[in-house]
Amino acid sequence: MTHYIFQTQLVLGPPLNSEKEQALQQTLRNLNKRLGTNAVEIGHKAKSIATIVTGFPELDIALGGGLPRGLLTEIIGKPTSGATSLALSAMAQTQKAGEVVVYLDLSSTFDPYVASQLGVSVADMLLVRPSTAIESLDILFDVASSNLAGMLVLNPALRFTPADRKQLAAVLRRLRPALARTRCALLMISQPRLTTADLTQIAAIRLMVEHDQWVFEGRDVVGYLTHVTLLKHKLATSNQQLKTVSITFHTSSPGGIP
Amino acid sequence: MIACILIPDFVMVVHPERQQIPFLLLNAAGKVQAAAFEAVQQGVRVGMRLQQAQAFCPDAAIYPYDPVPYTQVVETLTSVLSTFTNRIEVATGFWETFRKKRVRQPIHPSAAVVYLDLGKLNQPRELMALANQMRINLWEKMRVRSHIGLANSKFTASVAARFAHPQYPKLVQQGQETGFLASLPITLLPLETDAQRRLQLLGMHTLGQLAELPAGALLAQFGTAGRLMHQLAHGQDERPVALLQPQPVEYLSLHLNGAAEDQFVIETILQGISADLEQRLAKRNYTLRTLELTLHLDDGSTHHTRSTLRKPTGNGGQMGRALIRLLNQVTLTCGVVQIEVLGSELQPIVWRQLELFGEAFAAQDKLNQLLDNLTLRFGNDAFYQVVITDLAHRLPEKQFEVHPVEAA
Repeated sequence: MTHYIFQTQLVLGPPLNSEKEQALQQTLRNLNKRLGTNAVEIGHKAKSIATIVTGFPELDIALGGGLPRGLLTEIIGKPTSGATSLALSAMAQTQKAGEVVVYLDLSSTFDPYVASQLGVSVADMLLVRPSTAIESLDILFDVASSNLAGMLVLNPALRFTPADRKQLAAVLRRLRPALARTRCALLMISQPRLTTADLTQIAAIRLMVEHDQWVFEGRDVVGYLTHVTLLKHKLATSNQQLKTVSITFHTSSPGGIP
Repeated sequence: MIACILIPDFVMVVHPERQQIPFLLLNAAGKVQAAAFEAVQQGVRVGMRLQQAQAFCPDAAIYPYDPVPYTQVVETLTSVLSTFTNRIEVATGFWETFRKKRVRQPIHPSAAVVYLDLGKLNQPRELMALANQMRINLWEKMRVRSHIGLANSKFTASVAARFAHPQYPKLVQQGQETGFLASLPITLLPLETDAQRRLQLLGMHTLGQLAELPAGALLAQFGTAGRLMHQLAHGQDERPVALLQPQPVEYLSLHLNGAAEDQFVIETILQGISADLEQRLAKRNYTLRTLELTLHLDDGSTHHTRSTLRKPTGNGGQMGRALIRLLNQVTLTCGVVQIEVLGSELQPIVWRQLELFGEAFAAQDKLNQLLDNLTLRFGNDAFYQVVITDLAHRLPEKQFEVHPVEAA
């Protein structure tokens, strides 16, 4: 676990003189030697967080620009609510920005047709389908910390046991500092009954997606309306309130439900 | 103004040596890819299984479908017509697709349709002179008989081409589309059989009757297909002339003298094939991304495997290794008598010295680097790439395939 020390002179008094500065640095070196590299760090003033747009302007405004890079965003929704569609839409926007997207398809439900309908260039993305939960967590850590991907979407398997989910939370916790140094936005799609308190704590942003109604043109379903509620927004400023935003997904499916 | 050139017996243009008619061309999946006109008259359609096609036309000779001569003929056709305009769309997949509406209409299993965008040209005399010149050029350079229709929209132009005399192009001037289409049957529309039947039950037999109905009524009854019907019945077709051409491929086939059973012998043959492929690609300045290997065995069975390479390549060694990996996926029960190799997803070689174009390749470079790092640590089994197979296919699941990533 990483501990942060904030320089007290910023809050309480005058700047440290050179002797005290040297003593502080020596103490840090000793602590890091004893506890491990980078176990103790000097805190820095937070920089502004870069974001990736989702493709829905109302949602981007509510998020303060878009999904944050270097942080975990959890998208929660029941099946067919639009959670995966929202993630795919964000993937398409990431590709438009010229970056690589990776989809960690642990539940083997990735549909290239739906992805291409939502604007994802499926031939230019990497699809990962690990055979075991352990392998998936290792791959997740490697991809997220490599700083080569602009977005990593994680779709945990329904077959994940509670022990697997605990391990996932542990990996995400361990990944957090490494991820913060990259430009990779980590998205996790989960279902309401499967999200845990650990994951709730780790995610910087939590979005709840609820399907409202289908959009018809004559007899044909051409899209659906969903409501996205910001359950948690760690980066919200004081004048941003958590709220619900309505977004519409358009599909092309004459004669039936997509 | 759009010109539609219908070449009824395109199959015979590609295979003039096959005088034994009727004949069928089968693709690797064992389905009819194309057929001679006489077989079509007896009821053979594209996509039929062999048994079904033979039930309609028992006397048909059967040949394997070879995409290379089709591609070559299409390239020749395009070059002949490019003297008139550079906006040419070739529909030689034997299917005409209304992409947005996902509706497909079979035109003719042995025909080809070419659309040319003639821009703002609208003087009748000039248009007819141009169409006649196209017809003459096609006959003189390719010995092809063509039917030419001219109209402001693709649908009207294609209908006009069907009713045009081989010697006289048919022009439908602006404002006359509804009148021209009024007496024509609704079977010309790209409709499902069910929708056609429903229209006939409702007493709609001609496009004129359909055009008289309000658009809202058709929309309510048939949805977006109804709106499309109404537009087409009035001769309105929003589709532009897209620059669609069949993708170039490289194809090699080798018949062996006697059946080869030894794995080492077959591997040596595959390496020889890949060296040949390397030379062909170098001549055309292309690299390929997908390799398909078809093995015909002594007992009449066929094995077909396919692989998508991580990066496009023109290197014979890499292609040879990929082919050998494909061979290892097949269990050979007896000797191999014929080997076919098809290289597709050809891409022209792009030189990347200039930093000006660095951004275009940055994402691809990052993806390749990420893949290299991951496969080094975890192997290839967990990583896949999505390949676009046929965007015009009716079924969404057939439009894409997910392939495991090949080793570097």
